[in-house]
Amino acid sequence: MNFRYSKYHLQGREQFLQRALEILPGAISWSILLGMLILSFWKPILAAAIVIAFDLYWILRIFYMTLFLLLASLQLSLERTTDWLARVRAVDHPDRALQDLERAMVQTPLVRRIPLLLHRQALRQLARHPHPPPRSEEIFHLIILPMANEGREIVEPGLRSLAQQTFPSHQILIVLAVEARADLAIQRAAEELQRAYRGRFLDCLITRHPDGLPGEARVKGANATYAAREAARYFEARAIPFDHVIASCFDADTVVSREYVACLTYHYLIAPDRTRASFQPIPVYHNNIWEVPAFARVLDIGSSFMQLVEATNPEKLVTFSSHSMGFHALVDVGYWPVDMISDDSAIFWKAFLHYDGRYRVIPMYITLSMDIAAAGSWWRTALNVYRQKRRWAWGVENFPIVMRGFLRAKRISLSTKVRHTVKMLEGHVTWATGAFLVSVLGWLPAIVAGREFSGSVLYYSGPRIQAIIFQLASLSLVTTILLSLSLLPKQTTRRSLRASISHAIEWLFVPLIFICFSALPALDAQTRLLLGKRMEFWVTEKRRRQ
Amino acid sequence: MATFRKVVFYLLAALYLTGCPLLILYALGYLFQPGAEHQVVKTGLLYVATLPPGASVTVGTIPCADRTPTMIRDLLPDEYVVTVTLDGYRPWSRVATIEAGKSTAFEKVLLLPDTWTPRELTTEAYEALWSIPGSPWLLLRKGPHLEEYLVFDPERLVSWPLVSAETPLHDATVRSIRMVEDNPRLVIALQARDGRHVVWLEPREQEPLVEDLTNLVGDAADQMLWDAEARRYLLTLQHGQLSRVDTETGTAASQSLGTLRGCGLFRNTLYALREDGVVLRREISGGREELLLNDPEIARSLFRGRGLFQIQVLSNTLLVFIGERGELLTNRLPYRFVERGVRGTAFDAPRERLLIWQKGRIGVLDFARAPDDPKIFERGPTLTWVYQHGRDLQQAFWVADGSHILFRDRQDLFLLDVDTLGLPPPQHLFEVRGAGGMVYAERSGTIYYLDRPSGRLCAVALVPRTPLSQKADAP
Repeated sequence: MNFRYSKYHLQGREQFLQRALEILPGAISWSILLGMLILSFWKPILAAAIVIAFDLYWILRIFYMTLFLLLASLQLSLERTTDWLARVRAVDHPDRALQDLERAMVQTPLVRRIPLLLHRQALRQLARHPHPPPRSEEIFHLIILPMANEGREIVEPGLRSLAQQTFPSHQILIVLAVEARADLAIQRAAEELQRAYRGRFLDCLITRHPDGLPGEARVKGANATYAAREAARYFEARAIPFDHVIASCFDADTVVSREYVACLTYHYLIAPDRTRASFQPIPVYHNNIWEVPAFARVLDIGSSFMQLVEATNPEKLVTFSSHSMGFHALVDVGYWPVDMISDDSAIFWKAFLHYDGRYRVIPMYITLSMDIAAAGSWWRTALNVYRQKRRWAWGVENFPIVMRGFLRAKRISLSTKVRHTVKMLEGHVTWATGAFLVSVLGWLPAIVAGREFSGSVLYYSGPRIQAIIFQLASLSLVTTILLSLSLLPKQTTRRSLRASISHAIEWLFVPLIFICFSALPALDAQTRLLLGKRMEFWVTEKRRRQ
Repeated sequence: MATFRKVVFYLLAALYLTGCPLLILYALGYLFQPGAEHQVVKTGLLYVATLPPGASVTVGTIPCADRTPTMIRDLLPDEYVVTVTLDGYRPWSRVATIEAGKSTAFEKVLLLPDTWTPRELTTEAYEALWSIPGSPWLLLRKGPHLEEYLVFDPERLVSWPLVSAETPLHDATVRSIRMVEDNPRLVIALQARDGRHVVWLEPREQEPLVEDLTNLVGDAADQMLWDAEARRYLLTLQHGQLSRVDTETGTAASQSLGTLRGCGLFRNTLYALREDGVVLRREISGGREELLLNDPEIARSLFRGRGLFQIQVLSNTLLVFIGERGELLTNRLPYRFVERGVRGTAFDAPRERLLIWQKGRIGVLDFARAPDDPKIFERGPTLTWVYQHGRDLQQAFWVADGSHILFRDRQDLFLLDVDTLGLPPPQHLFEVRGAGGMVYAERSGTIYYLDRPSGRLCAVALVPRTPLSQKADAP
């Protein structure tokens, strides 16, 4: 579908529609919060009944998510020891690989057999497919590392991790995408990195994205797009077909495991419609996890868990943060949006609309690690984290554009549109209101109870039901605590038992943390969108101990 | 995974769609009644919390599994006899009316011990006892002279003389002691060999602070006032003229307010009733004067006669006037509540209720009971006489967050439960030395009194130290 994925330069009905849809998420969130507030005073019995209904929905949602978090964690754990390069080679020779696999499965314990079964299923599917995938030595990787404020100490660990891949690094093209407006020190850091690492990759390019190009906002997507266009010229000059190139746009602080590129290559090769898919790893924030305040740690582990849960639902999965996609699709859809902050999710929706719904995200059970937004002092880190989460929540800017796209897209089925609309709207509204409803507004009818309500059965039984629901929720919390402990960087957990215990205690502050650094930034973002305010890309300050 | 996910989703969705309405109905008190009738009934709920907690509750003839504080659900609308028992305490019993969808709460059942076990705090006998406002201390009188007064700290169980032998006028006879709320300073009128004196005294563990105000304050002042935080200024009303005494400079300045019939102080603001019936307020330090009542007709009907009034300022908007004959007026409609005989008052600020006692009866003036539904004829605060069989009521106190009233009728102490509907009769506690007074400290829940035969200072814990807010199941 030919659809311009932007909120700018609209006219007439489109402009009105865009504005109305921008208002919708914030209006719903505020209506829920203010409605509950008013009802608590005006009709407390009704408010208390709604609270019970919401709490029940909330606990069932938590159980549902915890179940899939456990399953996703199990799969992540099972895939941790996978030799992804061997699997890539297996795709090159599927028949021989299937025979080897059958033999290997006999000697493998039952639980460990699950990844092998999935691998066998993928190979069989591939064997049935009329078009065989390209051979692994024909696959190239484009990895874009945008640099605006990030110095060498932030970028180099990730670059080093890419140089140490099991996958041949001479098939990896690195582009250091530097903003032309960046400090001279950043420019020099990029040059130093280029000199140090050029020989270890296919190449290491530096692009300098000029400030203020027509139609662009000061957003990461504009820089990444500029770099991708340069890379396209590079591949064209060497006659490398775009459908043999996998593009990854990482945050500058992204550090990957040695198997990451091999894992990505494998998933690309086994995907039947590989050029119509994005590939989403599980982001974790372990680079500086023990250097940041507790609230930031809890919050970002929560984000990783959320992504793990999402990974179990590929039908509704949307790209988030550092991700990859076929370069052919990237070029085809016109690269990342250059006027939107949420480029990570926007590129998925752009491709989804462009290909009339025939585009998907394939989850990869492998982690890549980034920095938690630390900024030195507690208060600065708090402000930093708040702004970062607000930027994430600004992903709501996609909602009106996607809805406009859905209204025009005749080839996307109604059920698909409804499914995605409900998921988007429910996700954003719950993000902004859930923590408030559970932690604050849920107790309000009992607190402000007038004489009539305080003399009712509900006045006593409502809070008791809430308390039971909270006790049930604590089961999920304990599971989350144990999982978070198991996911922490191993060397740290071994080093300090005290750190592990204090980390477990940090989770008890979840309600407060999620109100201040999740619900509030989301409500802030939705309110800004509702009021027609815009947000510039604000580069998250990141610090790491040397 | 996708199929499994769908199955789980639809299972949970089905659970929600069926469970949610049932849960809400259950929370509202609806219950499916099995048996021959097979019908859905709307039940009521009973909540019982006791001091001390951990008591057994029996509803009708059925004992409840949980101990207090407890919530008993699923009671069919009816009348039930609720009995609370705890070893070592007197049984407590009431009739509770349970209505469909409604809760009946006994939120502060104060259990009284079977036998009182007083602690003797002193070995010597005393004549009288007071609480020193704004401090945890008690003031004890052993004899008529100033040097025979002692300060007693009930927390540390230590005492010391109010004044030392070096204090001037230590051997003078005490004629009267004036106190104000929340300020430990006392104004003591003395009779010494060289005549009458008035001193302003702040009790201290070492040497007290004593200032002789004889030359500044007339011995016959009708009213004396000082603010809760005042350390310097004192107001006196004599022959209708108000003077401000500056104890630091030793000067007294007449206040240009005209002839007054009464005054009161609240947060450094003076409230005055002028002879012409005007009620006004002004900051002590001067400043703007604000007329609160300037209607001669109303003033004439309210402040009849020529006597003086004490003005109790309970809040910025709530004034109580107590006349010389014991009449009680407020600034809320219908203004006049008691025509004569008020002996004392005690204010329960959180619940905005004024406890009033006369010689033979105790009343509660409820300012908070504002009408929920506005009517054409405005209904002001209501005065409810909660006890009318007193012989010679001397003192009364709010107890346990205003749920009970402790009062002394001559030498007998009684406890009255005012939170229970139907006002059960008061329970007799024990006897104290009648003339000596008693003190109730709400913070510790303790009654301090002088033992009737021996005159020794004794203490009894009336309310257990358990936090009153401890309510396991209550919102």
